[in-house]
Amino acid sequence: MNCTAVRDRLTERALGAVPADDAQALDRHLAWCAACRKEAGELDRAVTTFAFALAPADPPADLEDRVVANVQEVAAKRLPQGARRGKLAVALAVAGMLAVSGLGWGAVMAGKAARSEDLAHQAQKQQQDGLERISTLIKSSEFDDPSNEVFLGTLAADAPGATAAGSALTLASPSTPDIAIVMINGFDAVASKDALPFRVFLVAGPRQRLRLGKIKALDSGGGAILSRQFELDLARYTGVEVLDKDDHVVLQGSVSLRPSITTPSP
Amino acid sequence: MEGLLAGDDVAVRAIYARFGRPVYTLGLRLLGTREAAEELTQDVFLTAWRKAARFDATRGRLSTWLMTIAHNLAVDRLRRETGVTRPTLVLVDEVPERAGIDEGAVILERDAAVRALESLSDAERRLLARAYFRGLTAREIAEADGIPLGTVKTRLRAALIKVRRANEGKEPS
Repeated sequence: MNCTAVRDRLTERALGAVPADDAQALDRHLAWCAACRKEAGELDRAVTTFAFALAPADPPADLEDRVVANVQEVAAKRLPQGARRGKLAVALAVAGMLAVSGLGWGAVMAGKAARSEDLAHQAQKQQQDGLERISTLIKSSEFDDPSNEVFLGTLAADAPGATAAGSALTLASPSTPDIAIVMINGFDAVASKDALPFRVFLVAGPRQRLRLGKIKALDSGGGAILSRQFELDLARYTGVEVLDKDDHVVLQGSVSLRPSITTPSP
Repeated sequence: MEGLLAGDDVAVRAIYARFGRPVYTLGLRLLGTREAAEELTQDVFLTAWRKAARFDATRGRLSTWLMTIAHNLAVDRLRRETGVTRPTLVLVDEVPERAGIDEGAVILERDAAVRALESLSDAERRLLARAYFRGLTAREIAEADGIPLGTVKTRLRAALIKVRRANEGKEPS
């Protein structure tokens, strides 16, 4: 969806007169496009006027207490921060192991003198399967919050004939820290040695980069996994870049929302 | 907002004191019953708590954020409840007598909002009300009125921009 198409719908969006699917698509664009977001914000503010112009009605006197009790009850169910982090670390480790054991990319790639694009494609497909499994893990674990948004995507190299590829997953959650996982593979472990360390960034626009971490070494399959949790909203970081030590982009791609993951269970 | 996130009693009460009535009023007017308005108010504050970490004060006002949540939840509910007769609403209606209650800030806020809407023609107010209160899309309005879709979009946008200009510097924070 480009800016022209988005702006055509912003008035209706502000008025709450677009279907939920369309609103989601618009919001994804607004997450990274500052110009459209500014326009949307101004229209939203104008629409807020309508609610304040209504003749005020008196809520029942006890509604305030009920609202406060309700919020406190739900807030109290949140796990303490330390416990959550511990569980998160375990879950991430399990997710990583699941992905690696499922992929077996070392077996696929190791010992191959010439890595064809087909092999890289196959490994990437396996990576994607691994990330799908992580999505399932997230869905079935303590992260099971209907408001969670899981973003998935693949990373590719610009260079023709390059065998390196990657996959990325981000989890944006209102109730737990957000998580990003990036997996790369297909690099020539020997030839890439001089290009290390790789630095991995999440990207929210032309000037907004969030450092995910550094890859100092590759495994025998020319791959690595990087994961990190953030105390900020990752939903608008839809780009992923992997840079070598000279700041050349070696892999890049974007993640997009996986609607099936965000749908609450019946 | 950090207080809201933690479920802090004082923080939730402070936000309720400021926005509880407008949220309830919107629920009552859109959904038609006190019970539905109370449920909506509960849902709005719970949703606000769940999304509090994502509220960015540098990107928008708290009032806009909360009232947008309220309106979206109310419209979603109306859409789910097929067969519900939606009330016919206008953007500006009469203020009932409210003697004896000191509500200076609320009255000033409403006055500002009403003045902003007075910058619109009757036709513009009716058009915006059909979208905002009834959830009609521009296409649905165009088909009902037999006018081009582009015309409806242009009119909606022009009307909203008028409100925005009339509102500049006067909106609630």
